[in-house]
Amino acid sequence: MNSVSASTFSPELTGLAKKPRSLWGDAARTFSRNKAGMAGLVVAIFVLMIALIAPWIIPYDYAHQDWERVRQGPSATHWMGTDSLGRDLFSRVLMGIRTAVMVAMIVTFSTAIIGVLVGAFAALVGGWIDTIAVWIMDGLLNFPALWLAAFVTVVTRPTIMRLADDLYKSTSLAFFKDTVVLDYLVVFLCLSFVWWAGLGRLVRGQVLSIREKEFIEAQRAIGASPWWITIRHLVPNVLGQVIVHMSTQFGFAMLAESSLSFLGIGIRPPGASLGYMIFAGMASWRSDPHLVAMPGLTLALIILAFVFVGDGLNDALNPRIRER
Amino acid sequence: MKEKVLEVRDLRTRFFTHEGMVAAVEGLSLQVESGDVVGIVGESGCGKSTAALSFMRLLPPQGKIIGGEIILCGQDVVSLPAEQMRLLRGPKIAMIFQDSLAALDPTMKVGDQLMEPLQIHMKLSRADARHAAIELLNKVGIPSPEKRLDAYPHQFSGGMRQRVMIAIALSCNPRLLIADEPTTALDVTVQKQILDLMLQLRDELGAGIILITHDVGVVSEICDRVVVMYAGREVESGGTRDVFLMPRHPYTAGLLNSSLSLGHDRRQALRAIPGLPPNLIHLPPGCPFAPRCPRVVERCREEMPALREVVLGHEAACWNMEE
Amino acid sequence: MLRYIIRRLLAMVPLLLVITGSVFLLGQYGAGDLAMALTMRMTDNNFDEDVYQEMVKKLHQDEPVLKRFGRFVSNALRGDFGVSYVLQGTPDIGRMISKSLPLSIQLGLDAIFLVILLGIPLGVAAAAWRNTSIDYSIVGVVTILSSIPPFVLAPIALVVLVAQLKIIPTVSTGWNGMFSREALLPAACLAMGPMLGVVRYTRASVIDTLSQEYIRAARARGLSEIMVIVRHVIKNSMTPVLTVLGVTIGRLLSGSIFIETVFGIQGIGSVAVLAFQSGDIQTVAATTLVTASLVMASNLIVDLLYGVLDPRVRLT
Repeated sequence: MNSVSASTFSPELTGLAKKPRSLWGDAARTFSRNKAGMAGLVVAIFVLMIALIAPWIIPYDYAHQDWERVRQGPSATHWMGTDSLGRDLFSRVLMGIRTAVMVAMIVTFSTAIIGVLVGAFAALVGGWIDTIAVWIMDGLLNFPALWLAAFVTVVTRPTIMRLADDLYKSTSLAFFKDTVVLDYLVVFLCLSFVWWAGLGRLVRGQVLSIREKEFIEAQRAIGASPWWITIRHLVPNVLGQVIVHMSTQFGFAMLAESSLSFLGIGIRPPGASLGYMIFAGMASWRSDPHLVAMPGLTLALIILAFVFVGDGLNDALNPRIRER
Repeated sequence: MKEKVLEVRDLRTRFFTHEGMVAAVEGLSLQVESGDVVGIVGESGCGKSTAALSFMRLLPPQGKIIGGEIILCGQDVVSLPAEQMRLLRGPKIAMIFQDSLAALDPTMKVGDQLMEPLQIHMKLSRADARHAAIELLNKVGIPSPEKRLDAYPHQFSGGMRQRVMIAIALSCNPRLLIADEPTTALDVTVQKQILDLMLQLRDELGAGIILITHDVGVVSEICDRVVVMYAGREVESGGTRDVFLMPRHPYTAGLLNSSLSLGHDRRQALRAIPGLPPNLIHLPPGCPFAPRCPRVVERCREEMPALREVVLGHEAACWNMEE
Repeated sequence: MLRYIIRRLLAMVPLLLVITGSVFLLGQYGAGDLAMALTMRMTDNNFDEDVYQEMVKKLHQDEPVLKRFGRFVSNALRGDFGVSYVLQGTPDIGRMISKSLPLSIQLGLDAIFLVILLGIPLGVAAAAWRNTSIDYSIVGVVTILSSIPPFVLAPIALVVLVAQLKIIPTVSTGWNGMFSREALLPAACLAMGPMLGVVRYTRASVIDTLSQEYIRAARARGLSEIMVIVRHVIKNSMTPVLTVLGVTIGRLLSGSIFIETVFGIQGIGSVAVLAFQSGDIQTVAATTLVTASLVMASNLIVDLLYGVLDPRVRLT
């Protein structure tokens, strides 16, 4: 044997003749082994289903007040009891879940879109635009999240109200008079406006690091368009981080919605929000703890489920080097 | 006065990982007497570093010594309680690590790290330890040691840092010194200095030295004896001259052929050993080198060869040795 | 080291600009035509042109935007945020903040102490006994407690500890200083949120540090496990934890809003809640600006601490 030939690396010699594994299959397998993550996933799917079909499965009309049965504890007829206006708490909690999920979905997706676009754009374009984008993102991230959200909510609500009023006057569509819808709108906009910065910075960082690598390699090798290569390699790498971020963002978005509603500036009655229910229940926490406990524990449980899912996804999609 | 510093008999070390069990060291035996310089050579992953860590009982959590004896200065340390083993590290056995930058705490002054074993084992006060540390730095050839004591690892050059590592290893006058690839990360000229330093210290202190490396050139420079390892096993061992002039095992021959020497004819390509090291989790039966061996016969694939003494002091494990 | 400090301070300037700028713009936009609103109020909805003009001059609404922004910033630096036109008696916002902020800061510091005193040792323990039931239970319990929102945790804590288990006899409202008994429960509830991050990052960081070669080298010198942890592991593991602590301040301030409300503590959070609910934009703007500045200041402190912990940072 005088030289190294191709046959030196045949599978028999190397013992590496294994089947190739895809990135996603690997990730799915890792995730399925994570017990907490799987449990969280089950709960999350369950919650999403509830959110979807809530209006059709609630035993009572969530706004219906039964003055005979005010402030009752959990019973056979009212699984979670009733509130101070005689409304069935279970129905309200289910509708509250629906609210939370709806807000979380829209906010998560819109912040993801804004964040990815701005982050990628800033990284790819570079120069002054990038610098200013970084300033804006870092600046936004310096605000305590809830303060800024609340601030924006309080500021934009009157404007949106006025806008809706004008639209109602010109189109006579009841849609614009519905305060609940307007509440939603306000919350969506404010949370989206405030929250994209975290993902934006993440995406920018990823794009920058990939750009460094691929750009240089591409210039030397094929001479293919660096943009094309960047995009081809960008997506699989960044997508993992984006998905993990979005799953944790989902839980936070629900948290934010309930927080704003707790403060009275988010979704307000007659809309159903777990946050508002908790606030309302606080007044009588000694005598009727179920008014706080039921929506509170439900909210906590849902957020917990999404946290576990997010953790599981993180382990699956961003594997760290295992300790040998 | 020659004492038997280290005697290893049939050491077996395994790693228990997610993917399976790795037989990192399978039946290794060797002896080191004071004043000896013994080299352990082999490719990456052949088990030489694991063997060294086993001697010091510094294996990571997945590693376990499952058999054999390690007798250090007359004491079997395989089943020694952790606290007692700890007391041996420094005064009896010490290690020089390969990557001097990684082996020093980046947030602690070099002097403080050097003084640690002095304060722990020799029970020196801080002031005394400081004096001793300066002496040690002098001995390993570091200029202006008083100032260097207060410097941080990243402020040293590679060669200087390696000297510091040597100083730390020597601080409690160990009987056995293990050097794990001490020169791999250094320039050739610095390599020579470090090797000379080690020889000088060997003469002064009379310690036994185990030198672990994949570089046969280094081995031929300073080692009296050499042990060649492959796939966790010893395949050949003996006096350095004997083994290198007349290698019996095909692997040893391959290693020597693939290394560059001064008289090498530039028109000839270097002969690499074909193939890659075996997967230690799924070892085929028989000799682990069989898939890559130029002298392989049928028996090699079926039966593991045993170590046979070829000449006095020179043994090899092969069914088809070079004669 | 000095150069490092100066560099960090300079980097803060554009961020400060963004923060004050966005607060200012939002405040201006949200206030709408404040002069108009005030005029209407003063004249019982009978619009009076003279009164309106007077209002406009008083509120400097006739000046160009940049000049108003400059005035806003210079006033803010002096702690002058104007008065609240919504609350009874048009109280001076600056004074409201200066009275309530110290309470919030004390509460926040209490929470940070708890987070550090509990979180870091728990993280180290979880790492030292990793993949055992100790590890799983620590991480599990902390995850659960931490994921519960503060405005859920606090009332539930009250319900469970006071009403059901009767561990704590009564709930005293108000604030009696940083080290009083009353401070414990609110601070603990506040500390739960960031606790998970600290525990997790400490754990990951310690695991990472433990796998470093210099830890093995330290053991090779004869150091005991305890010595290794105390002398080498902790200092080297702190950098990611510091990062998490930096982010924590923002979370603490947000959580403070709820904790103060539930426990009746008159901190800046309570002031803000009142402002949120009554649409008092001036006060909202002022409190937002103050808290954002606090977050920035704490980030600066964290950056400086990096320099203290890791000599490689400050000597380059």
